[in-house]
Amino acid sequence: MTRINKLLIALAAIAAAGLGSCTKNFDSINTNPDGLYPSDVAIDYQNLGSPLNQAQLNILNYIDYNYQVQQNLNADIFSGFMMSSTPFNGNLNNTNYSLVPGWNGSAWDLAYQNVMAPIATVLQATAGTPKYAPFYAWAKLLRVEAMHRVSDIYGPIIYSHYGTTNPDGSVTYDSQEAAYTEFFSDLDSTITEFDAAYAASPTLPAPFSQFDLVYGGSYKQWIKFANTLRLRLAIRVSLIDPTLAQTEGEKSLADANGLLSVAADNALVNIGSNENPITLIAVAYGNINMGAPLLCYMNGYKDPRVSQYAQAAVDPAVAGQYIGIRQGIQIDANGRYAGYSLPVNFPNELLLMTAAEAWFLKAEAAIRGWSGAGDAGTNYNTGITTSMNQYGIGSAAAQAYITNTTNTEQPYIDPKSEVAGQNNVLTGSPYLSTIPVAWNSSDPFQTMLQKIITQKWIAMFPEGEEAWAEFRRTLYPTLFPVVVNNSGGTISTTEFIRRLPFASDEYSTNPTGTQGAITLLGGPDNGGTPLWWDTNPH
Amino acid sequence: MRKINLSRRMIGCFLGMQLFCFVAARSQSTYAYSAPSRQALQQKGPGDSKPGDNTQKQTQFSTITGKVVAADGTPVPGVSVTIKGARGGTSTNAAGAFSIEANKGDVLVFSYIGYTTQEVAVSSSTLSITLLASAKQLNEVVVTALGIQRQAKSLTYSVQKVGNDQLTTVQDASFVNSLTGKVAGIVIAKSSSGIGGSTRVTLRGNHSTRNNQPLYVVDGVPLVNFSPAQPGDEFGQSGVGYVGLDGGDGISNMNPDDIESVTVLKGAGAAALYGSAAANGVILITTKKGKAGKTRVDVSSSLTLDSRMYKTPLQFKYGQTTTPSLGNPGSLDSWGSVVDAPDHVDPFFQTGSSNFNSIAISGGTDRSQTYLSYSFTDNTGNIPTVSLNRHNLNFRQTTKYFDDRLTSDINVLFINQDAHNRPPSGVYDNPLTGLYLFPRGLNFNQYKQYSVYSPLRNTGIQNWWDANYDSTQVYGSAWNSSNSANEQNPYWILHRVTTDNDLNRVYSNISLNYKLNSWLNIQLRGNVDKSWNTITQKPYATTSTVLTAANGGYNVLNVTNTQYYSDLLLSANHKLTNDLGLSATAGVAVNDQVADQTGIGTKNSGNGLAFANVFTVNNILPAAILVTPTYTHKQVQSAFLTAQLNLKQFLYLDVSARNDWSSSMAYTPVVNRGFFYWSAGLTGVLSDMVHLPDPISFAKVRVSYAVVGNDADAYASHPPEFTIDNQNGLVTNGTGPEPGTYLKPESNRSFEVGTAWRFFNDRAGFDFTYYLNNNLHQYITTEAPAGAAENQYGYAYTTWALNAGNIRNQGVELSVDFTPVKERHLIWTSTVNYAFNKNLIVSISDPSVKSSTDYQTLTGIGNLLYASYMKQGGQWGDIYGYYFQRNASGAIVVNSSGAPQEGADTSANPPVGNPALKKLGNPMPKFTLGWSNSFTVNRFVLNVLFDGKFGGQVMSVTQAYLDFNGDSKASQMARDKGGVYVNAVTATGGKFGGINPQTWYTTVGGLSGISENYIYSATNIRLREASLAYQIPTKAAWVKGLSVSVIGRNLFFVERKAPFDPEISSATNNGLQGVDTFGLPSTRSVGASVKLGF
Repeated sequence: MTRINKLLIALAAIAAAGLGSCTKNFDSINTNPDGLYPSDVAIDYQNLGSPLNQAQLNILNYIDYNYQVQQNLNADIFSGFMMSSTPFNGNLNNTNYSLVPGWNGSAWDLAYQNVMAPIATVLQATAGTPKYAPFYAWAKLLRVEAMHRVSDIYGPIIYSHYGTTNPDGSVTYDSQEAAYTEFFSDLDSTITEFDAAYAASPTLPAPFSQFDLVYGGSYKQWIKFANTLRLRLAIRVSLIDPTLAQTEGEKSLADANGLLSVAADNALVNIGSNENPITLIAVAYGNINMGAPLLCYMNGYKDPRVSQYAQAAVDPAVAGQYIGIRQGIQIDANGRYAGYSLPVNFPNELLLMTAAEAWFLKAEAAIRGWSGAGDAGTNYNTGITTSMNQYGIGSAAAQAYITNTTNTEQPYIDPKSEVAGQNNVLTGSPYLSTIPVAWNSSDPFQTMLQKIITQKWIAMFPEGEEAWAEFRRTLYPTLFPVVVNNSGGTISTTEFIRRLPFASDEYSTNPTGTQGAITLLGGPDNGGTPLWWDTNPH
Repeated sequence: MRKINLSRRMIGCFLGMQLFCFVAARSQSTYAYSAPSRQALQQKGPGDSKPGDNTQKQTQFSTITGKVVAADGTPVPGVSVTIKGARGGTSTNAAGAFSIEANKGDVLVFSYIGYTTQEVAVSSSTLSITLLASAKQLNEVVVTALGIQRQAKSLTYSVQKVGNDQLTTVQDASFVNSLTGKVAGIVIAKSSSGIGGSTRVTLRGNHSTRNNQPLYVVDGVPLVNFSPAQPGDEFGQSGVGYVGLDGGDGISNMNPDDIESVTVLKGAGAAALYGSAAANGVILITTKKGKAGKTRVDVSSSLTLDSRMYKTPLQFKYGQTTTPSLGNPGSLDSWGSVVDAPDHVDPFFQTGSSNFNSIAISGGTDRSQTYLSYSFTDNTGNIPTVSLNRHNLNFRQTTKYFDDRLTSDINVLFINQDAHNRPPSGVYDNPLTGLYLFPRGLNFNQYKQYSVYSPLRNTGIQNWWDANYDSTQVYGSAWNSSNSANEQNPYWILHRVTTDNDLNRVYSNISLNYKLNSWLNIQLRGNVDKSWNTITQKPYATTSTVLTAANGGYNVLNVTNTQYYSDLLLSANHKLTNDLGLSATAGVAVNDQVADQTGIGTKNSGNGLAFANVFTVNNILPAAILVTPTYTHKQVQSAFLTAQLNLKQFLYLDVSARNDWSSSMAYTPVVNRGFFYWSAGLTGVLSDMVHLPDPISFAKVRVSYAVVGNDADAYASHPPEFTIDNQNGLVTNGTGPEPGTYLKPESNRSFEVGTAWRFFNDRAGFDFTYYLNNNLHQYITTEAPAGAAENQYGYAYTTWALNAGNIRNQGVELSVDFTPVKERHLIWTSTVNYAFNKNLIVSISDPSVKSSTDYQTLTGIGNLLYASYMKQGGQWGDIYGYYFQRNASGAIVVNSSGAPQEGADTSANPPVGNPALKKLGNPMPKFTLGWSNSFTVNRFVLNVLFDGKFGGQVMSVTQAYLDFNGDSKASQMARDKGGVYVNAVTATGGKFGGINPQTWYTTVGGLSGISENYIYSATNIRLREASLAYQIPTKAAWVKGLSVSVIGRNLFFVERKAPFDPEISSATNNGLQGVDTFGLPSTRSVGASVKLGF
């Protein structure tokens, strides 16, 4: 060994040691510069506000292809609002009760990924810190708005046990009843917090105003929204648990800050430069058209809103008509129904709740005799005029509509059906409604309820999820059953689809939890099992 | 800011290493090339002497001189000349001359790479030696891990070497494609994007849920082989805006003429020393160096004409179903009456050409050699406008200093490549969809004018049969203002949805090797490889509105890849006793890789661009701009040791050990201890141990076992809480390690045993290998139960990243070569390469992991025909899809109108969670066979290579789509016959014959038909390469070689069952294997080449 050799070996040893010390940079190398870690986002409350921004954009998903499987290919169709002209999957798909597992877990997956997760991170960061209390309360409110929809699709959901894995790896579901109890409790605490904050400084916006895509940080508007939401949920459980319903409903009716009442109160999520997903699905994809029942009602009632909802058909066989596609029919090819009425191009906002709905909820509360609900007929008529107002329709046209006692749903004639006449719903059919618009306070309870729900349903468009839920609760409005039923006997044609099966991922990832959920559901996990609040009016 | 700080710190660390440790030495194989004289060694002192040195002979030295020439009489410089049984020696100079001190009676050993080692007893003071080119296996020297050269016979694992002539006689723009059929166990799939497209290479099957491609190593240094973009589904979408792009891969940039040889290390055992990146095997590339002696110039040029190897079977007999009328363009499909339309498809294609030109200058002295080369590649595709140009400049300088103790080797490479309109794969923005689907009976020629003036837009707009954007002005009647995304004017796409992929790359390598003494040297190597790749796409206004906004779009993907690599090796090569030799290398290495991508795209809705058809980034409307940065940085530091002990040069024991520390393991307990892996192997050269019967000239057996680790992807162990969506703010990140667990390295365990025999004086031989490979603790992402344990940020991940599962590959490889004829005027040599691989997904879940599924998605089904899942008990790459409903006797169930019904799994647990899907096939071949023959007749050399892949299934979405629209030949034949005759029954059991072709094909075909109908056998045999070369005799003294060749590649199929080339794949990453969606047909290349050396 020469000196130079020893020197080199020494250098090598130093190099090796140097290597070891260099691993201290591994932490920074392995930190994604394009991602954000908690320390990056505390400035301007971004760590609290931005996740809630994400949650608002995902209650109804703002991205077309997500929205399509989250809601459009289920509730928007089941509610009678829309129908696809595309025979997906060889025309074996949700529209004719051949439920597509790849679609039906989407509402679940998107909710947990894009709403529950961001809200959970905010709840962790804000819990117990008084200065963050408005964020905490707001997060809970948004969580209820998002998750009651999920529960209304599937039934039992993971809510109070979120973030808690059992020793066996499973996660426990709440029954729908338990989930609703949690919803009411969350709403209570939110409204209490917001009422107090609003009373303390009525002119100041909430600290979360820059993240508020709906009301720009107005406490008062959020209180109205929360009250209306509580009333919605109370009405939902009014058949299964009248006492709970009345208690919760009357809280909302008594709140000094009130409910949503004018069109300007409508809860619309601003999705910025994103195009409305329904418009993209309809226009760019050609995957969704108007549903037959909605346009039959609107045509029958000569509803002035029809041109604000739908475009006239362009197919030569029906050109110029407002005609939708009936759900669950034979469709051989894309082209057959593509020229039926499309929805109009909606603005870049997502409709969560309308003021009109609040009036219809009050109308139902009134016929149920809840205190503070006011007069049912007044509420009903105000609901209609509020909706007309929302679309800029003058009071004369609205009055003519309200007072009409003869117009009823128009029969459905489909000239393009594969088998002639197969899709028609003619006068005299039990599936063709005979209910007129005008309120009559001497009507029996069921007639009044049918009128309220039918008009609420029309006013709610295009929000199919709530429309489908109320249809299942009341079986109003009268809708057309599917012509082709590919459910293999699990879903009754005459009783309609009652829910969606649990996400298939849940079976593989949380088998024990899912089995528990099926027990809580109280029936097989298919589309025919009614939910807890669904007392199945049949 | 963070990026800059981080890289500064990294550079600081790196420079620190440079200062301290960048001195290294290189192993000089088993031979010392030159050394000081024996006397000098003797003076070094007792420490270097071994007992047994024959000091008595010292006084009897005399000087022996001589010259070493090759068989053709040319001097061979650099030949090692040693005295048998003694240390030291010398090497020949540029003129092949040598001088050495030796005694009469000593035996001189002459050895040189590529030649048979010769032993000559000293009988006079001048010697003349003629070296013979070495027989395979016997004394061949191959480059192994870290650039260490080894005698092939000593290896304990299977390697296969491919020489330059096998790569360059019949060239492909990407040399990797030339390996097909020449190496047993290699499976090569080309992307369908034509020339210069990326290549998927697998060795011994697919092992991993992530990367399955081998590591490329150039002269001992790992090469970055990033592939910036690949299509992700059958539509061809590969991220926002980047429709269907194959971004090319790094390895395809190399100039094949610069390659001296390629060595394929197939198993993990061969690759253990390269660390985690080598778990899929290694392809070692040795590039050319300058050679001492007279300066030599080599010029080569080739031109091939490329045409389609097959035509997609189409029909032109039946016309459009609904013909145009006022206000209605008519239908896309062609189920109408007989029109006998002209074939508009054939004339669309053109003859492409590939032109390779290269010049290389090589020369130098004993001390310093230079190699300089430049090559230019110019390709045009066989559809219009498609082209690829490439310039490669390569400089290499090898110099010796300080009495030849220090050797420096410097290599600088510059590559510039422009690919224009590389054809996309998938349905979107693909010229072939519009071409193939064009309604029969309309006049295609009228749309060669792809753009018509629009008074409304005051510019040219897409002119296509169903696009009538400017309806009232141009046509006076209205129809749809937007045409389909799935078929557009092919000429519009070529001229108005252009894509450009421009690459610049600089690769530089410095190596310093210092010989400490006769048996020990130290080598330092440093490498910087940096490439800049820009992919731009410019869709003009009125490109399909589904894909492009009203004013057009501009999509740019900028990719900068940087690798810093350096290593320090200390190598020893020592005879412990007369019988026992040891060679060992210890070293450290650091490899730092950064892939920095920024995608800037335009939303496909709204106006997109502020000013139509102005393609600049600042013209993208704020509401429409989509920015997607991806920055991945990983650093791996390693320490390793490899040693080989040989007993009498007939029994070799190999061990290697390596420990890696990877930055991707930061934030886990693994980070500090890193991960350790090792290999061990044993080889016995039977023919040297015992006397074997005469016909056997060589025999050896070998066995080895290796464990190779693999680190995680960057950031996987430390995911951020949020990612940023530039349009919509923060998004909660949904994927991370299951709370309470951390990611561990993968473990790839491989065993192989093999034997090699040679017979009849090297006239024949074979090499056989059996291997078994288990790849455990795979990285898997699995759906987490909703709302399961919350992470450190307080929420529940929806997807867990974890280690689970085992993918097993086992198989055999057999390579046989023989020389049936060896006459003076005719030599016929023949080689057969056979490989069989069986893949099994032993498990994909792990009992210790709660709630993991037994399948993993490679490509999801979407609403399309093709999906691929890795399912426990299945095989990697299994194709899933929709299938026929069949009755008990297997007949297809149809409805009352004859439409086949789709099957559904009514059990509670369908195989991959979807009742409509079942396994339909697997695209990987059961076995592969390559057969090459070389006939030398005087000055003519004829080479012929047949290549076959047997077994496996592929899917054609193209066929499904053509069938659906009545454009396929099959649909015509069914109509000609008056029905589709299959074994079909109705639900009630009644036989159903002669199904209406339209009913049948519109049900089974299309993008959401019945996949099962489009599964084909992947078996194919083709004449892969043929060449006839002629050595032109010349009397000019300055000409060292002149040859001309006629060459052909992909000449014809001997057998093919699928309607496309099954070797072509929609993507070269893990998804979309074995499916064709309007891919470009393979090309047949025929041409000529000239090589001149002077």
